[in-house]
Formats: sequence, structure tokens, C-alpha cells
Amino acid sequence: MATYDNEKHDKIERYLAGDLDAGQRKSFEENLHKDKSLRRDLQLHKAVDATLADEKETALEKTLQGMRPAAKVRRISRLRSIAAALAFLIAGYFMYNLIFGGPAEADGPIAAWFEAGNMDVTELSAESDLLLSEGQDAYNAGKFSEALNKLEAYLQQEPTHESVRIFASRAAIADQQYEKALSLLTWFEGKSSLNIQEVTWLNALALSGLDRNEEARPLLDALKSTGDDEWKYKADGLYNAIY
Amino acid sequence: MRQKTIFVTEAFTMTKDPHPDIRYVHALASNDHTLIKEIYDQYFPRISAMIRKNSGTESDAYDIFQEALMVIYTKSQQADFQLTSAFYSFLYGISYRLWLKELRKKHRDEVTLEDDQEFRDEYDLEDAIFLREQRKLIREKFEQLKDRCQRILNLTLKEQKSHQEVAEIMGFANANVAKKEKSKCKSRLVKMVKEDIRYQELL
Repeated sequence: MATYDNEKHDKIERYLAGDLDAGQRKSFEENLHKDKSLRRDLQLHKAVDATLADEKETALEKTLQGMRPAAKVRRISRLRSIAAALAFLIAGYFMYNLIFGGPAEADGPIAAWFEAGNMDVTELSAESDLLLSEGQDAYNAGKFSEALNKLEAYLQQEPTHESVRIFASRAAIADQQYEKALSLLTWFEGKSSLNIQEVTWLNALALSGLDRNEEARPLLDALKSTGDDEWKYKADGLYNAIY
Repeated sequence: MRQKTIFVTEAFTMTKDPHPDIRYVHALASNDHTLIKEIYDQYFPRISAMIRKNSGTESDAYDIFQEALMVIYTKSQQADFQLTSAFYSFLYGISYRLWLKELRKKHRDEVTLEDDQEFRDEYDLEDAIFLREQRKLIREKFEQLKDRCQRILNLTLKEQKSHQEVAEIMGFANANVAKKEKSKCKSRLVKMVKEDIRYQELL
């Protein structure tokens, strides 16, 4: 917790108001060069003055907020889509169970650690809109094999869409097509990605699904060493499940 | 394990004359709705694509885009600010960093920018983001002050009233009392900001 003393406050205020005499001012400025915390405090004092004097900032915020109706409409539309997808999913689930005894799911030791999650990504180009939207619908309906086909076709057109590639890999794992998942994830090798931990995790799951546990182990170790509690928890869990 | 990111921006154009895109910066400062709409139309799709390609949704993209414009506004308020590149480069650089911070917050990921060599950060974007975050915190804490203190600070800082005028409005004995009261209120506000853990994290 930071400390803040009144004497320091008064000195800074007097400096800003020009109330220090020449000697005091010189001494204050010398201290500024030496003392980083004093510089920070002075900057904060100036920021308080500038912020509270600035009426244009809040006006701009309101303007920018007001320019988001399109987003709200889309969000409402998305909510409707989600509601429709949910209704479809529930009806579909019962129909699927009735006919096939349930959708495909990852099995073996990874089953407890694999989560397909809900897919919610948006398109990049009009040409491939339909494939992505159909793939997403199939994914969210638990039809992972169909989702995989659609998403793979989409990736032919948009190979750099990382989120879609990740969901395609998840669909492959959910459909127990572990080799396919690994092949989809190969694209990330040597590439820069913000999703590197997710990719590592999916690789480990796919390798474990193929009983290639020795290859999965260093990946799980890497996830455990990220310092992220969530990844550590999952990596530990899968590690214990396969060993 | 590789942890790096691709960061591509438009090339910088160095010139002594003001960059033609400075009109967008002025538009933010003057709250020019027509030009701000143009900024949205021209640049939002590209920023949105970057965010959606990196695990974000369109709603995330709107949040980041709006915040990036506010960061630009805040940075442009500095006396020595100059636009030395295309507006989009500046906007992209800030949006990228804001989204990276958001991802780190959400996933606590150790995502690095080690390959971030194609962007020459002449603006000190981290500082720009710091200034904006600091302002948000100051406003938040200001709302938590007692009404009396808010009024005194508004009179002195927003309305630029003299201490004598503040003394008359607030019923203080004289200008010196007003000055002391203002100092106390400001000290309280500064202290509240400094003691907030988010401020410590900003530093």
C-alpha cells in the first residue's frame, strides 16, 4: 500500500502554484531529478488537475458510446441467434439421443479434461460466411464431425483464422479424430500466436487421445510452468489421468 | 515453447509538416461527430478483424476500439504531442496493446511482444495507455469523494474560479481558507488514487 504524506503534498501543490521561492524551487527540482517517487507524485498531481479540468473527455466518451447502436443491434441479433441455437440444440440433443444414443465425445482419460465449449467467432469475408456459420451451428449443436468438415472447408479459404482453427481442432478431438486435430494444429508450428497455450493444451489432449503420452508430457510440463493457475490445474489433472 | 506475436502496421511516414491524418486527432478533441463516424467506418473493420482473429468477439472489438480512441485523445492532450504516422498505425498499435492486456487479464497469459519489430513506437504507447487508465481511476475516485469536496474541486479546477470566488460561493471566511480546503480535498483524492491497487499495477 502506498504512503502519502501531507508535507509532500503541500510541497508539490506549492510548486505547481508557483508559491515556492527561488531557493525552495531549485531544491525541489533537484529532488525531482533524484527521486522517482516524487516525479510520479508530481505527475499524478498534474493529472488530477488536467483530468478534472477536462470536460471534453466525458463528452467524447458519450459520443463514442452513442456510435455503438450497430453493435447493440448485432448483439441483440446474436442473442436471438443464440436463443434459436439453444432451442435447436436442446431439440437436436433429444432427437440425436433418440436415434444415435448421443453425440460423439472425446473418450478415455482425456474425457474428463476436454471441454468443447461454445463456439462464437465471426466471419472475415462474405464468401466464406455460410461455411463458418454452418460450422459454428453444427459445433454448438454437438455435431462435431459435421462441424469439422465445414470448418476445415472454411480454413481452406481463410487459413489464418486462428480461432476457427482452434475450434476445428476441438471438434476433431470431440469426434475422436486425434490425428486430424494434430494435423490442424501443425499450422501453428513456428508461427507467432496469442493462443499458444490453448494450442499446446489441444496438442497434449490429442496426443493423449492417441496414447502418445510421452509426447504429451513435455507439453503438459510447459503448461504447468507458465505460472497460470488454470493451466496448471488442467495440466496436472490430465497428467494424473494418463499416468 | 514459442511465445511471440506478429505485429504488422502501416509504414511510418516521417515529415516535418503535420500529418494529414491529424484531422482525426482534432476530430476527437473537438468531438466532431461527422469525422468520428468516418474514423469508425474506415478503421473499425480492420481493428475488429485483428481482435476476432485473436480470440475476441465483435463486442470486444467495439470496447477496444472505443478505448483506443480515448487513449489517443488523452495522449493528444499532451503539449508536445505530434502525429508522426498514419492515424491507423497509431490506432492499431494502441488497440493491439489494449487487447493484449485484456487477454492477459482474462487468461493470465504470459504473452510477449518479442517479435514486435515492425512497429516503431514513437508515441510511447504504454505511456499513452497509462495516462488514460490513470484518468479513469482519478474520475472514479473523484465520484467517491464527499459532495463538498467534489464541489470545491469542480469550482477550482473545472470552472477555474479564484480562491476568493470559491470562498464566497462556499461561505468560507476568506480565500486562504478556500485554498486550504481545496488542498485537503485534492490530497484526499490523490491519496485514494495512490492507495488503489490498480494504480500500483499501472506503475
